[in-house]
Amino acid sequence: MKLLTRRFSVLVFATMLLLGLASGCAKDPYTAAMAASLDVSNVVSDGLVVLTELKKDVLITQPEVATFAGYLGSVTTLNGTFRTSVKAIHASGTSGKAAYIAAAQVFVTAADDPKVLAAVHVSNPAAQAKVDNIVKGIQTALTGIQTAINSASGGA
Amino acid sequence: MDPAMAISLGFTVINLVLGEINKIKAQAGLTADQLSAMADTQDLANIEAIKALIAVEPPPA
Repeated sequence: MKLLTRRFSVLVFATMLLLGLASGCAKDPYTAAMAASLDVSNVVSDGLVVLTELKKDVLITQPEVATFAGYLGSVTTLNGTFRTSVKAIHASGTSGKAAYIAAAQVFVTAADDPKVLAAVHVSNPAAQAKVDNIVKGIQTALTGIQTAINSASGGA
Repeated sequence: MDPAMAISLGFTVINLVLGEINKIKAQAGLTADQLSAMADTQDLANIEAIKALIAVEPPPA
């Protein structure tokens, strides 16, 4: 069962990554960056739905809810800052991918802070498995930003 | 991991993937500005959901 679960998780996240790639293909870097940013917003939204269910089912304590919600809030704030940067790059007339990739790198580095990720821990194993999946989904979406920009049409 | 937990986790993940597929379909053909506006709206909804989650409910009277 453990091996089956691991294989299933790998399959699911590979699928999500492919979906992310598909959403970024054949667009200019500006559109690809905005589509990838929307993907992050949507994954955070999915995470909040799961977190609300865990809280309702009393599978997670209020301090754990606050810590995890804080992480999701931090990703949301950084995502908004990323879009502001992307708009500024577009407004400057930059057509290549490099500036967009650099902005994405700043976002990903800040959102993947190991200290914050280490704090996202819950005591209930069932709840922890769901929280881990949400975090993996967000990390996949974050990785997908740079992949989407790289896959976009347009200059380097 | 016990089978019930694995099944519950499986359903959660399948729902997330199906949700992503629907969202990607909905995004197809949109401009960058439209995508940005959708992300802004979703982020605002996310922030409101976060505020509701971290609000401590008053004890029953």
